[in-house]
Amino acid sequence: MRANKFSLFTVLLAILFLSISNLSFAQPIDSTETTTTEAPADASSSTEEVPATEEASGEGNADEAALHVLGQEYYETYCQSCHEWDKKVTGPPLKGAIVHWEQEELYSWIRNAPKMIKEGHPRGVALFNEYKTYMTAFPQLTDDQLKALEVWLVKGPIGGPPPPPPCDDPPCTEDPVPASNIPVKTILWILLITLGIIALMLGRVSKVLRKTVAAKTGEEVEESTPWLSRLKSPAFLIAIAMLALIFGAYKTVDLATNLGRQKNYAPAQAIAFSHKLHAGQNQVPCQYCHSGAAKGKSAVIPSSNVCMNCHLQVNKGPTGNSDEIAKIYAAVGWDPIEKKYIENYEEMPAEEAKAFFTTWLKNDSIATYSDEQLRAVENQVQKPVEWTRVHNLPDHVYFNHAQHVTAGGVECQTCHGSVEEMDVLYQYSNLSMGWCINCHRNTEVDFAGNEYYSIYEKYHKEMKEGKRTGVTVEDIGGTECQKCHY
Amino acid sequence: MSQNKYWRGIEEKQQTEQFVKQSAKEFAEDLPMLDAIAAEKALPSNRRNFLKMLGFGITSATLAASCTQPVRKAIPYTIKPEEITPGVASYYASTFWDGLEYASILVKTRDGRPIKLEGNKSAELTNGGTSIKAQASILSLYDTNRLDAPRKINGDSINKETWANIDEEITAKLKANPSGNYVLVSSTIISPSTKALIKSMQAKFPNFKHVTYDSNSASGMLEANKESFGKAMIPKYHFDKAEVIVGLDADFLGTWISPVEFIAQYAKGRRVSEKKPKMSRHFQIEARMSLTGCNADVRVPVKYSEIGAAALALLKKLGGSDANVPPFDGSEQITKIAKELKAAKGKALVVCGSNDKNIQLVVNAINNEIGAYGTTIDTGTACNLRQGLDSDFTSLVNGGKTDAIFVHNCNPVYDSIMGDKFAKLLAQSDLAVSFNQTLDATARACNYACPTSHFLESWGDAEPYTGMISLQQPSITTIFDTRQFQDSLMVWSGMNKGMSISYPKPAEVDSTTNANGELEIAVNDGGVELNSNPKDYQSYLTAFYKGKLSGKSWTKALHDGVATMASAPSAAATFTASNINQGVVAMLNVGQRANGPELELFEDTKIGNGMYADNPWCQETPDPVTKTTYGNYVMVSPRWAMDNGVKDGDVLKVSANGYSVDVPACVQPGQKMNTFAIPLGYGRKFGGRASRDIRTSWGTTAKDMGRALGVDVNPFKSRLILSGVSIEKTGLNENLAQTQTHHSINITQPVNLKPGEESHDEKYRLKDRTVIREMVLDNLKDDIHDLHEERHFYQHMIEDYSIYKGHEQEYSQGHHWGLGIDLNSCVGCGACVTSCHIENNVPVVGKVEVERVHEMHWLRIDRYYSGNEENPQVVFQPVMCQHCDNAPCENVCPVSATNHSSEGLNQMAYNRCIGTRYCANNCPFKVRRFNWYDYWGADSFPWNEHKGNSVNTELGRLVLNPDVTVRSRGVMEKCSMCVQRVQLGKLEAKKRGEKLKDGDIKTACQTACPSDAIVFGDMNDKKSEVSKYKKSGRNYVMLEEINVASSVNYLAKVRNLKKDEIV
Repeated sequence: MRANKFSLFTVLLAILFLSISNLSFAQPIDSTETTTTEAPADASSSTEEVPATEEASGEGNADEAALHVLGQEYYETYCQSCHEWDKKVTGPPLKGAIVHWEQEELYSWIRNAPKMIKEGHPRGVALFNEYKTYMTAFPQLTDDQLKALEVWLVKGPIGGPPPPPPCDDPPCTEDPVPASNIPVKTILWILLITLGIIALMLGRVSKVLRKTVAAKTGEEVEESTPWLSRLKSPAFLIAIAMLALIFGAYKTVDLATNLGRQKNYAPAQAIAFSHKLHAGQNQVPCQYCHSGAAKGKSAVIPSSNVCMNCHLQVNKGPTGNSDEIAKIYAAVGWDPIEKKYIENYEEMPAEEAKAFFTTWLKNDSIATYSDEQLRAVENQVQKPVEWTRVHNLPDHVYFNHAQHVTAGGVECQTCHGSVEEMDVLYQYSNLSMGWCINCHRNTEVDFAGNEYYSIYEKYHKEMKEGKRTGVTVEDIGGTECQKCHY
Repeated sequence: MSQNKYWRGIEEKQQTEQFVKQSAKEFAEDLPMLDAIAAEKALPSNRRNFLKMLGFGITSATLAASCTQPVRKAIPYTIKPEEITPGVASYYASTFWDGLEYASILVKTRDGRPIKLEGNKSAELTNGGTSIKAQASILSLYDTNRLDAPRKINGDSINKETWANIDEEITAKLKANPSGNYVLVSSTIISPSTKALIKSMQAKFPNFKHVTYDSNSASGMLEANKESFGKAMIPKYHFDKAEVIVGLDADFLGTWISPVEFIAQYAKGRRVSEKKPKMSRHFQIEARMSLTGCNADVRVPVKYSEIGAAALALLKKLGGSDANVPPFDGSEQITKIAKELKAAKGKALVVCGSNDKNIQLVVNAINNEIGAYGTTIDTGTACNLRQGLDSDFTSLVNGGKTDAIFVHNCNPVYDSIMGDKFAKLLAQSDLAVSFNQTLDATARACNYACPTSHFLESWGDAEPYTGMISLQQPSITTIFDTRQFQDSLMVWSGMNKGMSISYPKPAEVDSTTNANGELEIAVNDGGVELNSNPKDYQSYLTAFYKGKLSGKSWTKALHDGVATMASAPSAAATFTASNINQGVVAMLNVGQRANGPELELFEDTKIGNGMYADNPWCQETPDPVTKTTYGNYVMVSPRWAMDNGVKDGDVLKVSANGYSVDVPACVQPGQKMNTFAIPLGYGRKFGGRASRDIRTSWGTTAKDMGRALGVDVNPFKSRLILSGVSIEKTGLNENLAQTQTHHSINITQPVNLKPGEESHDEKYRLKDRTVIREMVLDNLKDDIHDLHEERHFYQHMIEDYSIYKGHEQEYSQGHHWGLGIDLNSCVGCGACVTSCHIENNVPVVGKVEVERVHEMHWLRIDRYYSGNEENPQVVFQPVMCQHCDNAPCENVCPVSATNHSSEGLNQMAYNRCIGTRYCANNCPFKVRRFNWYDYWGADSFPWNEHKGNSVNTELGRLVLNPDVTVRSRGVMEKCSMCVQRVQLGKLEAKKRGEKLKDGDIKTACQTACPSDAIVFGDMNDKKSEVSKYKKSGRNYVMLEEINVASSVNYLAKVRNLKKDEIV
């Protein structure tokens, strides 16, 4: 009786824990403001796996493979700023484009597209109507170069998605659906459950068979305890309850320590700024914009005047749209038509300023903008840009960028991940204390290169004597409380 | 010197029952544990209750935890100013001048908001020193009590107005009658450009008058000097050059003229080392125990009425007078002082704080006799810090109706002895305008309140001494809709549009010769153009200094904060003896008559004339002498208290001049028998929340703000009342929020004994504990030897009995931080306490909490008395966490929230702390502070906040240091040795790739100190200042006998006493 009560209590407790751990620590982030993307990590890993297919379709032709590599190079040099493989940007996607062109036609198109459009080439006119822009002419390209590009167009980007299957029918639009996207884990589960069912069935069958055999031979069959009463036995209940308790408690603690951590947090920003474009494609160094990282505590979100250093010239994004860049102009008061700052912008009536930028956008010859986009630009008029902080440390943590960037020489990517590949910036590390401490334990200090560390005489001596290969951050007190908490 | 028996207050000396009970405990009050246990026993405690509690607890935790994460915004500048990097502090040189006290300062701003004031080391005058007021003045910037816009006042109806409307109305009134009888009443203005502006006003309005009103005036001195030198001026004193200093009722380390500057000089003259066993000798003749008196080698208590007699007696002994001096208590000491003054001719200095012209004349004669003029007193450099002549103000008040009165930076309706008359004058005049920042008593008596900006929002200049310029620049844009008063004057007089100012001629050659005799041409002013038609005060100011500064461009001067005028200083004034005897004899008659109680009403070092009553930091910093916070008191002598059965907090009725107040008594050792003193500045009717008694104030509107802290003593109508004073007991008792025996280390008496019981067992006697060590200059060698022996004994003991052997190895490389404090330089002014408070986001707790010993100061100044109660010797000792390498607090923490760093710092991880307070119990120095409430509003639940203080507002929190965690309720905190500064200093060195230099890192207490008593540095660096302190013969550490290996090194105090004077 006592045991029963105890087990009941334990079961209740376990259920409590379980429900809490599953319900409450889900920790939703305000969904109206932000979108959580877990995708980036997956997407990048799936693209990485692809190159193997290239060899299979390469037919072992070394020449062609070399041309393919060259083609990739030319693509990156000449085409990439307007074309992507499988996405509409300034120009059409290049995937499958080859099927629309004869070789001669293609060469002259690349060498002088505007001419062909003016001459009324049907495909050229159709493209112009769709994209509202002339493709830049590349008269300097040689036949060899164009040949390489042609091969590239057939085979697709190196390290990119597989080239389209040869398709005879011109309107080849549908991509073949990937064979299976089901994760291994699910397959394993399904396997496990199936096997379990089979095992149960087999057990049942063998029991029935044994019974029948016994009945036939006339042996006495031992009456087994019924299943249900076995399940009700206190020992079983306690065992289950204890297991659940342990699991629940573990889950609770685990999830509780994760409270407030926002790994993979990728909020929507006031401006759809792409690090992939700026840091990746255009190779702007991190500290060009985040100039505070070398100087002090904060890496600094660049002020709009820093954006203007480039966007004085660049007023179109890779898709040909100007609305995101117009937000910067609206904030600082840049007149993109006259190419000068609007005088006394702050005193300009807000309505007038709003109208100025929307009119500019509406007159855009290439892109059209939805009302929503126009409103977003209007909202930015005469106001600083309100970015959403992605990396949030608790108030009781003191973190200084300069300590790591300037003194420690740590790469930005060590903590922030491959920002240059992120279209939408997300939090790469979990920024937990354990994560910090681990790095402090493993990272060696540049002892020889900085005169400051000369005061650690013992370590220098030990290194000289060969007793020590290096000094980690931990060795000089990098894991002590008041290095980060004061 | 045999170590004196020290006591901190009368209660300790007399070992009152309450004191004995309290001093044995770490925390003043018991937790209601027995009640809690009883209550728990009454509860039917069973599993069901357990489950209920569990369910509730977890559900509420779940609810709290499952809230969405807040979305935090980061908003960068649109156009970022080049000099600002978010997260990196910028410093701007500026000037602190509140009308009474001057200091050159650096303003530390973070992300555009000022968060800390530091002393400016490049200012020769104040040498990087500050004071309580200067430190705390930054909080006045974020004071919600400040006027947010101009007001139009008509009796009780006070309406917000726009500047445009007010400008229109006032301009119209002034234009209508340009020859009207206009008066500007202000505290001393030391700004040359403002004075020039006022002159221009006078050119525009021929009857525009400027009356300087100082609440703490030096009128007597100015008048006396006019007679002696033909010029109403204050000379420049050099305390550092004097070997014998006599203070005659002059609190020159506290409130007299320029305390920050004087403390620096005084400390310089008293710096002692084994190599230079020489220091100045300081006599102080006074009735009230002042901060200066506390520091004197020999203090002679003399009644207020007999100060004049003392001065005359001194002059007579020096041979400068043959007047008949009546006998007075203390006259035998005068002979000795005179003898020493005579012996130190040319190296002696006598200063007097009396506002009696006759006494000042006598003092001038004394200084002439001892050859002070030209040596310790520079009459060629005039001090501009006090310009108000009481007679000017009196004649204004008695002179009848004026057409317009403008009041700037003073509150005469409250703090003048003729306040009611001045209020009447304001009411009579057609136009009364107040520039004061708050709606104080004077502003309420005016028609318009046109708030001037805070000095951190303003442009300005200052000339504390002739030729020495100190500049002031805004470090933040105006928070409220305020306007500098100079701008207001310019607008109302029309000077902002078309003003013909006759600029003083630029210096003819804008060049100087440097030390090598080479000619240095001044750098051209970077981009500042001479604006002959300034539209505002800023451009007026830059134009004003065009070519006037010697060897410095305007930009450079602004950067440095200080500069010198190019024009040559005037020649020294010569002393002309005048017939002083007649006047003095007349005065002495008064002295002879007075035998009854005498009452002084004085300005203290933290609230001043009431200007800082609304500043919580000033209120919370204990008065250096009485150790009282929040509210005033009447200082009574211990003998008088004993005779009348009065103890601390007994409310006395003090009556004189037909006015009386009920004020609690503060028994002050050293106070002359039958003299009484009450600080001014309290009991303000129209103060803000900080100056209110929080027991009665919880609201925000004026109505429910409750009664003011302390009592208003200005209506006594005199600052010194020598007759007709009566003191009666009321039988009431009020708690003084006095910290003198809080956190006391019991050093005089046996503990754990029943009252009356004596222990002869030496181990119970704690009197020999190493807390304070003193030496006598005459006996320095022997004293150093004794201290060495004593320390050797302790260290020997440590080696034999230590359980912490071998620990010192751990700090043998890298840094080992330590502090050095020279008790001989420390004058106990308290600037470090306030500075520490500000730097480390230490909360303000309010009066009630201070009474419960809950004050949070990380750094306290212990003030010990020794000797006779009627005239004790005093020593001040700043005590902060000693950062013991064998810290007793660390090994009792159950969660290891406090532990040791490899650099020798005793660290505190607030987020780990669960508030058991074991560490505080185990701390021998009693430096750990527990957060009983959420004082800053750091907790997430608003109802959990401590409402008792006025810092806890959105605006007030702007002053918080972003590099230091704001602690929440229930955690322990203590001095971190400014670890944020240590880390920053190390980082800067690493970034430069250089070794850290001694002096690169300075703690907040160190930068605030006007006497350079505190040094911080690396004890592993054998050349650092702190290592030098450690090597000094006077060095000792507190409680060395308990072997905690503390990192704070004290240098013993040295008294310049003759052998027969040793107590």
